[in-house]
Amino acid sequence: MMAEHAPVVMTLVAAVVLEQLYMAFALPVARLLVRGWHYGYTALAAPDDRAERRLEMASDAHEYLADQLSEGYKPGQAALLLLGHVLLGAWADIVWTAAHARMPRRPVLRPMRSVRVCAVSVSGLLLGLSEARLLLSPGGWDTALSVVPVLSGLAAGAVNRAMLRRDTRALTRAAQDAVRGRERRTIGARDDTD
Amino acid sequence: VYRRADELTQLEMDILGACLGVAVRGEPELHGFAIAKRIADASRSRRLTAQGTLYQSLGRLLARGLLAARWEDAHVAADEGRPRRRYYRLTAEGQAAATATGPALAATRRPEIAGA
Repeated sequence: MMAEHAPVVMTLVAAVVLEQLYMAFALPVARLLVRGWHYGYTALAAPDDRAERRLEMASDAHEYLADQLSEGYKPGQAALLLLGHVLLGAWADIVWTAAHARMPRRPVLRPMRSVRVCAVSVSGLLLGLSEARLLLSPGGWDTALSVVPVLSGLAAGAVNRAMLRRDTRALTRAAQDAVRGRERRTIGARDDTD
Repeated sequence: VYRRADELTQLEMDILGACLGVAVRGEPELHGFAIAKRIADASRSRRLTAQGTLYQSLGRLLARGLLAARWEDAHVAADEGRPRRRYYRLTAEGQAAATATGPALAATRRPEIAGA
């Protein structure tokens, strides 16, 4: 008799334990997630903007939770509501990040790096797709395996070499500009002395 | 639907309306959450404006000079055991804009805020 009901009892006990765990940890976890989100999307902003935004968002989250709890919501429910409150405005937070993110120090090289990452990712994707096609074709397993390292190596090498050449050219141009600027300044100083 | 850059959104009009409502009652400033609460109460909605959306609009109104903001004294917040609040109040321009948007607001779905 007992053995018959054992699974039901075990399920009930597990449900109660899970509910208790959820009630105990939902609120701290939600607070942590919300704080993490605030810290994450403000990370690129200038220190003053960042500190102000984090403080204001922390204050809002605090007021929101206090309000929900005072309205009689259980901590677990309030945690979910808080996550929804923040999540529904996430797009506006991203827009804020875009408006407040600081400019990179070396604007010449940063885009090239991202171009390289994009190029390698795209070539990887294309390789993956062609390999998948080979694998799906009848008897294509062996061909696919033998081609993988060769093609991957060739593609990655070619992309890297091209990007490296571009970086080198940009650096050379920047160095030449710097030298020309220095020369111009020297000539100007000499003219002033004369 | 395209909106002119100087045109106020529905939420911005609601914010100005909420600030005007409390200013008329002699309460000069409100913090962000209180503004959201007032907007929800006035529209008899249980759902508050999402965090990011509300502060995006508040930021725009600040940038346009329709609202002014100040940070609460740190000691007051510490005594009450909560983070510092940022209080918003209408500027003279904001008051004019809120009064001007009153009729427009009355014609929309949230008439109570305009009359508050």
